[in-house]
Amino acid sequence: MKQHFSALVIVAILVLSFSSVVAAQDSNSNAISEQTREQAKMMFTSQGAKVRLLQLEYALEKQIKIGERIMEKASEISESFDDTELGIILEEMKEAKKQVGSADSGKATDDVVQDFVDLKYDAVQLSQQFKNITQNSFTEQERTQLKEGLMDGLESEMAQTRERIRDAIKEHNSERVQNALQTMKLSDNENIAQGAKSGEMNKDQIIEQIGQKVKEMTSSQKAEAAQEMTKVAEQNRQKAESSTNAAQEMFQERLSERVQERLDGIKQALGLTQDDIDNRINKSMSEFPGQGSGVGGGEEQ
Amino acid sequence: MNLKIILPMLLIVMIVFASGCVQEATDNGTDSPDQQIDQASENEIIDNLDNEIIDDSELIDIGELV
Repeated sequence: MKQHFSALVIVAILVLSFSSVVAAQDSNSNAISEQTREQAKMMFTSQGAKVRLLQLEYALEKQIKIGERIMEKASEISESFDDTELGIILEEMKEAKKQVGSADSGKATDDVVQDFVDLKYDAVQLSQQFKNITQNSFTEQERTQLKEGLMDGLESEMAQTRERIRDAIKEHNSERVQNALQTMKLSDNENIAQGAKSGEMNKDQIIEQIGQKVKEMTSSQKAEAAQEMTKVAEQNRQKAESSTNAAQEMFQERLSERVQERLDGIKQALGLTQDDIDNRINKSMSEFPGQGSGVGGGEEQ
Repeated sequence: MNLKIILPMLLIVMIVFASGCVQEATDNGTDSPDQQIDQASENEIIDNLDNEIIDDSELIDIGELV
């Protein structure tokens, strides 16, 4: 009888351990959205990675500027409004932007994809935390006031960063054109790669020009080119997908470390106590998918 | 000339012309199997390019703040 009971206990422990491992894997896999997966597909080259990191840096820079404008307006609308938490979130966003800026697009694909999915998650989570506070602290009418003129002049303020993204995209497109023409054994007498690099040709024009060259090929050349293009694209897709899947491992642990690192960077300036830091870490961890409250609102991550 | 000769000839010419038109319309409407394979290859190449080339207006959305 005793032996049966011990066996049952062992089986129960095994089942419980297995289900917690599965649950942990499930919650980690929820942290990377489909949209992020799509964006990471371009990161199989260092130029593609550079584009994505610059786009994320731009998104954070814009968010910080908007956040600062909201905080200014919030104190005008309601004098009693306590903006301490919004201030901490904004400072965390600034630290996150620094983390994106120091991420190296030339690193191995696995590492740079991990940096991108981690920091994009943080950018979305911090934005959602900020939004939750403004939504809970202001009436609909006040929020309408907060939104008024929020974007005025923002594009021109950020023109330089936007130009850096455009330059990186041109370089990326030029590389992809050269690669595609090489794969299809086509010459570039029309200087399509150069047109992509200089910005004379946009995406539609690039595709149209290459499409014209493809039309001039024989049927067997077209079939061979299509097969080869798909083979290469599939290899690249698998490379990016395997890096994204690898980034799922230990996602929660890395999140906790990043929040700690960011708060360490701002604790002195904001006078944060260890309790404040622990509360922020707990909040971020409790909002992790599968941990109960979630980031909320079905926001894209 | 005798109408009995002209009318049947005219009818024959009209029938030949009409069948020619129908044939051409049919040819235009449906591609031959070779043309279909050609088109599929072209589409496959364009789809691959479309997935790899980035539009320079593309940005990343991280949500709203208010």
